[in-house]
Amino acid sequence: MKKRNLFQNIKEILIVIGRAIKSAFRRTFFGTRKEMTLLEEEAVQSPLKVTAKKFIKNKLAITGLVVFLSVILFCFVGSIFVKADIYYVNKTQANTGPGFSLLSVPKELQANGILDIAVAATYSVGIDKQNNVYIWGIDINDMAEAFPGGGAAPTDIKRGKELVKDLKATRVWSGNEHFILEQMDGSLVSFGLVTETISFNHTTIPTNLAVKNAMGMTTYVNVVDAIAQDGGVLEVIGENQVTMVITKKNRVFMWGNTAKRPYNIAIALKNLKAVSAGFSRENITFLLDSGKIKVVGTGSVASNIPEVLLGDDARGKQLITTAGSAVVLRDDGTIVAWGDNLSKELDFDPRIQGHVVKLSKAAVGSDNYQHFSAVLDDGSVYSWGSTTYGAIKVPKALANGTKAAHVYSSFFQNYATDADGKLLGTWGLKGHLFGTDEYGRDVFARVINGGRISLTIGLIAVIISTTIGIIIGGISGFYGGKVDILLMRFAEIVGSIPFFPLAMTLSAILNQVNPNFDTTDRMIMIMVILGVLSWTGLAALIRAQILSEREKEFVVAAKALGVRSRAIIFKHIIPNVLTIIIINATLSYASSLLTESGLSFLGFGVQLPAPSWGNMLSGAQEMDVIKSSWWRWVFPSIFLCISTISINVIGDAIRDAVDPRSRER
Amino acid sequence: MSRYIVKRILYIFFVAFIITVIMFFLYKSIPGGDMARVMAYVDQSLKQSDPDLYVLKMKEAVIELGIGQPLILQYFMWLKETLQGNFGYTLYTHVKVLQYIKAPMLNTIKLNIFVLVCVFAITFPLGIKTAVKKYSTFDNSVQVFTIIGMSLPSFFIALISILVFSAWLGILPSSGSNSGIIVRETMTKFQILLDDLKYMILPVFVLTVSSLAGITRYIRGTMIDILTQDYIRTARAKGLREKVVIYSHAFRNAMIPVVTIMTGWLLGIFGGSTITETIFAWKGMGKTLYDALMQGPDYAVIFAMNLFYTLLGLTGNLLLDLLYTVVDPRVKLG
Repeated sequence: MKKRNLFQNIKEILIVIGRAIKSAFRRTFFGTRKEMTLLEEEAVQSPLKVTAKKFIKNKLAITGLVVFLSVILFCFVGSIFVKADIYYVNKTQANTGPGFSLLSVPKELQANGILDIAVAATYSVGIDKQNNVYIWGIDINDMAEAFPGGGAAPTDIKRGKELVKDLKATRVWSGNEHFILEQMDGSLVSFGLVTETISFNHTTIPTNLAVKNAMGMTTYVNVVDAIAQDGGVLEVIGENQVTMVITKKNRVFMWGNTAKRPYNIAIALKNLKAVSAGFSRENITFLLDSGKIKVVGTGSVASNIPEVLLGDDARGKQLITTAGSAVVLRDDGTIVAWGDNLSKELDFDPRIQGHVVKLSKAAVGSDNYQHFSAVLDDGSVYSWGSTTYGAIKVPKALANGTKAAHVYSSFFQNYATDADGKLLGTWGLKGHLFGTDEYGRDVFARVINGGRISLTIGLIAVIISTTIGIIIGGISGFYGGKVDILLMRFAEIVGSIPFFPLAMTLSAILNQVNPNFDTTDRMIMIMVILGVLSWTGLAALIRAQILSEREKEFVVAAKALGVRSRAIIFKHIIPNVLTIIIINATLSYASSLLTESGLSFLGFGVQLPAPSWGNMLSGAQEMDVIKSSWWRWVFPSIFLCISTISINVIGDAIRDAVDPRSRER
Repeated sequence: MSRYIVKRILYIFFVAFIITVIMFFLYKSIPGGDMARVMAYVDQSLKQSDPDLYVLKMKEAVIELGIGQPLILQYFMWLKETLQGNFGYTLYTHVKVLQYIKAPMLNTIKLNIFVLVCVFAITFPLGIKTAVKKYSTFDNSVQVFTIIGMSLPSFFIALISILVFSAWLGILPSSGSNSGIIVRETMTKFQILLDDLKYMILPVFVLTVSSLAGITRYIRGTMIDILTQDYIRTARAKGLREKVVIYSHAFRNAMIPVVTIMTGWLLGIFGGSTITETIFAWKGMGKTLYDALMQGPDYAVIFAMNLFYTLLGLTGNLLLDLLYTVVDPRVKLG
């Protein structure tokens, strides 16, 4: 008879599993086949086949297996498609909740016709033709509750809706976390979030704004009166915690957090005669009523203004800026762009020159707004600049030419409407499935990639511990005697030291010993620590099993028949130990996932910013995160729990299938 | 028997000795580890108040710790101090380590006694009941819960309980081990006791919930095994009441294997309470170790904690072996 080895056994199991899945399908869809009686089954099938069949018949086990395989597929295949840039920082999208409603323009607004839209980081405000105000977007954990006196937050959409319910407005502008409405009588009203001290306030229109005159003396201006005197506002420019208003008589007022915009522009603002303005990272650009450009401040936008915009022939008509660049539309339909070009904001298609009708509305020049949009004379829309979140992916129909008349874009959201206010299309960031974390990174992508890391670390740790356990338990069991005593004492020592504190200590100290460990080294270190500390249980089990198998009748019989000891070991003893190894490895996979996540949670495992299911939760040691940014810890936890539950179910089912006695339990 | 105990105690010392060797040489291999040891040895506040004395003390410390001497010599100098109970000083606060870890140690023991009582009070009745009524709806639902309970990480349970009891309901404090000295000064003794308990509820709850599943399953398993034994059938045949059969005949025998897993579990909660203590900022051993590792690292404290954990583990093993002979008189040690 041909000798069968371990691999043939495994092959056999796989074949049986394959057949069983097939038959399970058949049973499900085409009714049952005649079941064999227990005696028939035992008579014609090897124990392994019986085991596999029992496992397949366990519905819970199959569910667990399917769930676990889906999690593995989700993490390993998913991480090929969904990359997580671990160093990505985008504060404007930080702590946004899960959902895809950033571009969901309310139906009523669409039906009534759009008059104006202002786009902020996580919400948009719109006005319809009947002057009703609407707000839509995604909630963000804005800590508004931590600052109860801090004004009303549009970043909480529900509260925002309450705010605008009874308002009538003609125009709207947005800052990062506040927005300004022009009411029917031409006066301004502003709503927003004040998260810092009340030493400044960008959300109320000041009645005593300190302005320095040319002599350096401070005078106080009532901006509300000034706007009324000048017959209303020409333009409002919102910025992160800052508001700038240009009145119809070209007077400029700015208020808010001067720490965020540190340059003193009070003197420069005098007699500026601006018609529009835009903020960039280190400066403010003004479009004057003469069509010229004036930049206050430093930075790339201030240092290399194109000559043509400074001369008398500037003829600038519209200005918009991003964090590091600015673009001016001239009255002949050409555009001039300058700045640092970090996000390719200057690389527009030269064929649009002379065909530009209108740029998008003056926007917030915050760090992460880095694209421009323009309406061309054939009614099409063209976007250029940063490709993040598909901000410049204009829908085909719009790019090919329609009746577009207005385009509203800021941050990563864009809206285009025709002259009647009909919404033609939206593009850009819709939202994040699982929300974002404190740096604005997508939690979904981090769950996928963190899962890959966690599952891999757990798996390799189990492989290491299982290998050590097999070797030590095997040697102990086979050889016995002094070797056995020595090894088992050793196992006892390792096993009796509390595991978690030791793992923590080793991880921290090995990091000190090698201060230039990178992320991969640390992961390997964690795998080794987990593996090296958790083999003792398996070693003892294997030893005991080998000892008991050695004395069983069939082994004694085989010995009496003169079967070689190698054959006895591989044919009779190993298969019996194998099941124990499989069960133990499965169950310890679950516990090593838990240990790894625990270590990472405390900061001794996988180090941030590399994601793992454990360390994604480490932000949740703050009450505010636990309560308000629940998506940051709930989603990774759910995936971790699903994995460990399904692994435990599978392990239990294998044990039930292998050990008929445990089925009684 | 006594020979066996002596042998085991000697064995504990031997292992502890090995642990000290490993730990010492691990610390010696850390760049800057020596400097940290010297720094911890001297009161750093002297640097401001009395620079001359500070320099003198630093030099003394270098000599006393034997920095620069052969490694073996350094080790034995250090071991001598340790054996005398002098574990050195904490890095920043310059307090004797033994004094520093005394309070946290008591705190953790206090916490774990509560957990022990809660876990026993729940798992024993539950395990027995599910075993007696196996495959009933009750048993099946408990089984589902225990599998889920085994799989939930303790920090997840902790976060959920903080969310529910602290954030939503606002009835329990989410961190700390008491209301603080200032508030407690105005309290009566009874109020102080209540205050202690209030801060203990959530950590005890989390540790209990995360230990329930495994032990319940284990007790159920052994009980089912025992309930199929011949002597149970005999007891029933004699006409004994079912209660007597279960609690007197079956349960006492079920205790034997249960005792064996207690070792692992006890060590587990002592070690595993690290996460829970950190989340709730409960000033116990786990939190102390965490702080020592995070700030510094504070080697003297880390060493003392690890030595303590090792001794705890080994002594715990010995005690449970002895307990084994108590619950099962058939077992002979030695």
